[in-house]
Amino acid sequence: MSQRIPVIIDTDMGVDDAYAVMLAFSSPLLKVLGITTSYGNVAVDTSTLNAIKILELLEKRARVAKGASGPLFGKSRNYSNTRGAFLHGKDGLGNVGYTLPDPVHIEVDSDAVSYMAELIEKEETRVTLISLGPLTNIATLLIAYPDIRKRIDGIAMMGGSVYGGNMLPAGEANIVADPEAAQIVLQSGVRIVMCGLESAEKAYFIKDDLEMFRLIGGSVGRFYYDMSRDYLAANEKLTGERRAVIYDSVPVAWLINPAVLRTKPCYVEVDLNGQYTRACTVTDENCTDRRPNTMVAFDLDRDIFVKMHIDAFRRYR
Amino acid sequence: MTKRPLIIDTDTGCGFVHAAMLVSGCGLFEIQGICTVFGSAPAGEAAVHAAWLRDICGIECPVIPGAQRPLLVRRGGAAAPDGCSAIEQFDRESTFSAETGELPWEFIYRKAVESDGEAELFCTGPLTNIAIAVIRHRDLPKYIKRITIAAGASKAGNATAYAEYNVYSDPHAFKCVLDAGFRQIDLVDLQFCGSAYLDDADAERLAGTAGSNPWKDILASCERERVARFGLNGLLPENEDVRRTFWHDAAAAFVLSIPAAISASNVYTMVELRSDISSGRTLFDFGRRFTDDPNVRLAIYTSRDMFADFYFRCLRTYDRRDAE
Repeated sequence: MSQRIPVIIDTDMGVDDAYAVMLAFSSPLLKVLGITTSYGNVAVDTSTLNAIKILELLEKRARVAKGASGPLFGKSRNYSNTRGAFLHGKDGLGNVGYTLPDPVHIEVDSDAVSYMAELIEKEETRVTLISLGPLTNIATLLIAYPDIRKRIDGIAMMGGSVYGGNMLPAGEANIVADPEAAQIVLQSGVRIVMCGLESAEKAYFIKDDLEMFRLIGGSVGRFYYDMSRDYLAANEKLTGERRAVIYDSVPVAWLINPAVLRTKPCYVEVDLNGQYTRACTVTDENCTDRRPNTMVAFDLDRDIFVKMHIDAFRRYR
Repeated sequence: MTKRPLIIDTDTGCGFVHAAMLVSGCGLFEIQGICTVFGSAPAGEAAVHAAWLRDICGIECPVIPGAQRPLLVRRGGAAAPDGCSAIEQFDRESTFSAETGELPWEFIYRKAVESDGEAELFCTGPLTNIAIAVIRHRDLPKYIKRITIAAGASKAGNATAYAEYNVYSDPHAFKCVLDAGFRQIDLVDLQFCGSAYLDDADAERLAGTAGSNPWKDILASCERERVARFGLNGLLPENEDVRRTFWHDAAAAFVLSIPAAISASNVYTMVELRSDISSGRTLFDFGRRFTDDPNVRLAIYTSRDMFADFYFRCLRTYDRRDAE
């Protein structure tokens, strides 16, 4: 087998993040070096606690480092009444996080950025960052450690959209949370795969898929089934469709099997001063004036995506 | 049947050639006048083109040259996607000569008042003339029954990544029209052309148009220019061997003529004015996150066959005129 891809997962641990982490740890192709957390779906403290609980559920020993509690510029928000709380539950894990035991094994570091730098420097090969939340931690890493980009193989991010947003007419939630950070990352010169709404909204499970996970996944499958029930209902209220959209698994799925996405090189930058278009990832598909800086995902093969998760749950039996 | 009073406001590019043929050929309208605006044609040429097309259509109405520049923005660089060089190949023995001496915004208002609230506006260029009319006469909207606009993009644009040319050219004018309080705004965005187009078989039908039909050579010239600029299709790069002849203005003329032949969404529409990189982008609040008060009826879809039937039915009327 070829060498495993070393990855660091930066997450604002909600329901779909939990799927992404489960998928990443299940894959023989990926070597998860560590988890860093941030605000986003929930506040950073909750996100950090969730990350630890999920790792213990999966019986994976990895350090977790707590990161940013708010965007680079501007204030952090109150999470009690946000879209994140509505979708992911107040605890970020579908209101069933309390059923998991209090964590005992896993170390917590208080500085996500230093921790990422340390992991990247220590690794023999270049490291891939998987970004599942706002890009605040990764932007800070790129600013604070200017030489580190040479040691980063790429960033696979869930975030952005080509045509329309889910938080604003043109803004996707992870970019809306910190547009300046997203712009820093996109302009950094690091290879980026942007898994935005065009692909991520096709990454969904229906109830039958979730039942399958429950049947084949042992205690892990049962917890994920329970965690997804409220998420499924909340998605239905938001979109009218009874689907659990697992946005954050998409970049992980792409790393495991690139055939899951149809991508195209584009030039992408973030609109920072629009009245209606702030936080839009402005995507020039034709790259008329500039060289492409991002591989943008335009479509997702749902059959491959679902099968990957079935295979993943089987490994946790 | 009573004809619907119509005022046309256009930048007279190749797209408008098709629109003029359709609007006149369908026989539904009493065209009151054609106002011209900067855009596809160079300054001064738009009115000449319009008068030439008017004469081919056999319409009796004035041509009124209008705004030569946008209200506020100063754009450089973005070429009009339609262009007009296909028109300029013809010997345009134009009858245009500053015919009324009236300014277009005054003409539009006067005609609207005279129509007793029945007048319709059909706009296929930047909306500068209409915006000035609204600014000058705040009560204009109550005299306009419906305004059909070829503008905007809900996905990819044709001036920038997202902005459509007519909005991009004068976003403030577009905003002014959106906010003016018109009773009904029918907006035909670029994406509507995904269902209102002609295909390979239609191209053959076009090639077989009667030699006496005055549009035969003009439409062929426009098509050659379109293919030279955009390839066989401009919307579907993954199917480059498939012809998709679409003209934004022609799609809008179809919506204007048969508004019931489309599916549409009532939606709150915004235009970005502040952004450095997104100015002129239209945004549609499909999810009703901002307001429950839609301000436009956005054309979403039509039957391609219905569009093609309409197109050729209009085109054939010129055969008959010739026979008569």
